[in-house]
Amino acid sequence: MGDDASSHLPLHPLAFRILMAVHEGPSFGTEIVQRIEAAEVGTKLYPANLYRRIRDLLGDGLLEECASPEGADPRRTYVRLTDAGRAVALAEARRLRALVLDAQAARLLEEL
Amino acid sequence: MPKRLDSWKNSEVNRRDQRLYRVLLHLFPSAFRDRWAEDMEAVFRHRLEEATTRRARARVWITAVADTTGQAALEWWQHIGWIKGGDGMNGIGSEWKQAVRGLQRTPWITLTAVLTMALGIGANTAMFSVVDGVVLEPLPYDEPDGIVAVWPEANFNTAMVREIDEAAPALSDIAGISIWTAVLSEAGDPTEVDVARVTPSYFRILGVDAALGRTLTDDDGRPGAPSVVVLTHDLWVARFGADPDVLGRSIALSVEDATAHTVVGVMPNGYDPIPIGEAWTAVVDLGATVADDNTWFVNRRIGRIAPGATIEQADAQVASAAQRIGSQAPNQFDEADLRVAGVVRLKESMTEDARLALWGLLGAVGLVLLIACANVANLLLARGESRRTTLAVRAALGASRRSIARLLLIEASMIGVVGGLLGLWTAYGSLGLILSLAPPELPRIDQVSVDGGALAFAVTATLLATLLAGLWPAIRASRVDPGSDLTGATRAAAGRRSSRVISHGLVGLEMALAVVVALGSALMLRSLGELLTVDLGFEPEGVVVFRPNALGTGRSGVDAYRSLYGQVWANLQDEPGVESVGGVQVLTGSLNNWSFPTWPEGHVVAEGDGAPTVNFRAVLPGYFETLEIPLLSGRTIEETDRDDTEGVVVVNQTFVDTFWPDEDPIGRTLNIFSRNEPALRVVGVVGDIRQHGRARAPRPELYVPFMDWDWEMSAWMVVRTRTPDALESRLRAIVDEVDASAPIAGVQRLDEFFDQSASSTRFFAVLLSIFGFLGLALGAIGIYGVSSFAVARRAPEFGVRVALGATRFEVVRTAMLSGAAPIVLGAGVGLAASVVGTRWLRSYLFEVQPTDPLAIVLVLSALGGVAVAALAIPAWRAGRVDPARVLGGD
Repeated sequence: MGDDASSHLPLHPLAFRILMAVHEGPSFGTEIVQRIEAAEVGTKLYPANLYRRIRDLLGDGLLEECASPEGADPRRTYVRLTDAGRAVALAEARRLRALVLDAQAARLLEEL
Repeated sequence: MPKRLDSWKNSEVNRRDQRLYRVLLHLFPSAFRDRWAEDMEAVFRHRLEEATTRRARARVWITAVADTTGQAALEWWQHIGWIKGGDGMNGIGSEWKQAVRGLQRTPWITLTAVLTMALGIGANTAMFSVVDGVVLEPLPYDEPDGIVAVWPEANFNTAMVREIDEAAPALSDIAGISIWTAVLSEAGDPTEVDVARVTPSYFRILGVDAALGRTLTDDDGRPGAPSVVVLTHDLWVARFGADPDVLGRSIALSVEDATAHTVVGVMPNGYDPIPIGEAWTAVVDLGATVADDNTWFVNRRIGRIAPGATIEQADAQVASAAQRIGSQAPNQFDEADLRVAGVVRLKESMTEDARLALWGLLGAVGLVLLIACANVANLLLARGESRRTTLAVRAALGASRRSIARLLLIEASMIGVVGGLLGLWTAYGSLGLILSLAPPELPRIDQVSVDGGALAFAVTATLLATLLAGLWPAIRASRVDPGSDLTGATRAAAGRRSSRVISHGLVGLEMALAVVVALGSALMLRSLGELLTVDLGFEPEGVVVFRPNALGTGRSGVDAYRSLYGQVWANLQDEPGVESVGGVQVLTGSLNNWSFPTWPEGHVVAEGDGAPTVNFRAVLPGYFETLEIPLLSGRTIEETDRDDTEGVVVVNQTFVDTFWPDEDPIGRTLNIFSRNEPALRVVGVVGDIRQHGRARAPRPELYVPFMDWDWEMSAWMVVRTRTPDALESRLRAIVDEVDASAPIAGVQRLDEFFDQSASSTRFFAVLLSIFGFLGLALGAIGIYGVSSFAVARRAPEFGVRVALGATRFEVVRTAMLSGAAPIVLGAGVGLAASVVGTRWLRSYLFEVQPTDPLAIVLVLSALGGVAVAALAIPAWRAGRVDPARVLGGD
């Protein structure tokens, strides 16, 4: 699994954001937008960019479609994280953490 | 509470925006669209709902269009790439990269093409935004297509509204509207407010409800009903601090003889009153017959088409009711009024005057876009020609014709998309300029913005322009033949010749279009010049005007009016800097008018004709002297002309010319309103003035003494002063000395006010000039591009000529002449086309004919100058060809 996950790295920042947003629980477009924008203030996501990314993540098997929760609008497409998706998100997070630690070791962070 | 109203208007806008967004999604391949469109719309809706201002909505749209077009292009790339399965010389992916590289190799051509597209698309999008906002966008009311204006040409009384309501079942409701200047003396200084007195069905017809409290009900319009008022949101916020407890309060608002009104409702924020107004009160129907009802102030009517009925039925019913009413009150309507009785959609009636002009401007700027397309096509053709060898190499290496054409089309699309995006940005920037020039009477101009409609327009314009400019050059350039193009054989030479014919044809087309637009702008500029230099008959410069209002002072009766204006008039005389003071009941230069049937002594009225109507002005002494209107004979109105003296009147020159030509008018008499009224004696004749702005010719006019007239009229004070700023700052104090409760309105300089009467002409003239300039500039770029290219291609030929002894001058002449033919031909075609093209302008021209020789000469010389300059630079280069270098190369 680890090797499979690393073949997806580095993840596009938006793809990573989407995976993190869905990690909170199955979700749909507008809610994903809200979650991402709440986490990264100042970002404004637009539909075409978002859904091409979601489509690719579905195609790569990192996300999968799931049933809408009871009472939700049935027209919404709900997606959730697959095991592979979770592994890739985790690998990307580790990669980024390693980068930050390197920056710290090079005393770059202190300069900033 | 006011929240609800915002969403009321927003939901209307959002529905339209979503429809447009759905159209935009068609840029995606159907597989993607079918799967994701619904989800994408939901996210877009979320974005829109966050945007509460027009500006924010415009930003959402601009980003959404960029997002959609960019992602759709990537999606297509991916989509086609999969089908083709891989790269190689025919792969789409490699073509995109090559296209970018190809464009980078000719940076100047790319930049010129992109900027040309940006200007064309930007100007068109900005202009379309104006047409969309003013003419196309539905009125913000419930089912706006069912709302009509009822017999807009006629003057109504309340009884007529009732009669037509009963006689026209195809109208479910009809409402009369009358705009009054009222005085609000509550919560702050007394100020004038525009109050719409309406039949209570008004709100039912528009389908709007109050945000707070209620609107008017039928009971409010019955005799004896208490006086109530509904406020606009803006007035409620400005004067009552958005206090919800204002409901049920009695406020000091004077309209006609009612001095207090109880507030019963506040309208939603953003609700646009029709036609204007800051508050609404009810017109009371006293149940009189049409002939006896003296409420002849109901000057606008709206109605709603009943369910199942058609506008044609309503039109016919109103027309026949009008005939009946006409026979009941024969003196009120003439034949012409009755003939046009009917209904017309409210939006059409509101935008009638502007519609033709705005469509004309859009047409003109559309021609500019065509010029831009011809230009880009020419640039791409030239580029294609210069790359024949490279493309032939590709063909020799196995690239198919289709793949070469696709490569060139991709290049054109890139130019189009970048040009389109830059164009949007240009539109966004230039809309402010257009709006700042717009005449104040242009309806709904405050609602214009670069919104979804404009963006959809920009996208369509970009696609069409790209196809128009890119398709033909791509097909042509793909017809390379490795055999001949690589060896310079005759077939290739023939191909070059035919492409030269096409380039010249395109230059001719550009010139023809540029002449049409430039001539339109020259005609409007000439009109503007005529308008600004027309003799007004008086001197507006140095005159300050304002109007104290006697209503709301707590005093009533004609004496209250006379004493207020008389005392203010007297006090103004003592002000430092003041040279003279006068007054008049209708401000000089305004479009308002009072005119009455008049019987000049000895003037015979033809059988069947009514008495002629003559403009009526009641003036305070000093009016003519203040405005410097020349006295031609007799005397003007004096302080001694009061109601205890004989009735006197001053007439203008047109009056004398019309009714008493070749006679001495002094001492003759006339009757106003009816022959039985006491006669007035003419004591003076004054010069004609442009009473209604610069463009309208003087009409017969009579002036009576304000102080001799038994009516409750307001007066505009007109003051000639050496120190206008000082006077303006003292006005409140001057009026306070007489009555502190009298509001002051309309303080302004007469010359500035008068200047507005040229604002429509100025608007069209400036916009058309910008378009004309753009057309000429793009045309010049086109000529320059084509002749530069021709010179470069013919360099060896020029080298031979020089080597054989031709002088530099001869070479320059040859180079220039070969480019001149299409320009001359194009200009000729353009002139002929202008005869048709400038016809729509006719009603906007002032003392200038569409075939004005001066305008034609101006345009042709501007065009000639530009063309010569654009031809001369490359030709000069041809004259400097070094034979040794260009021939040595071969």
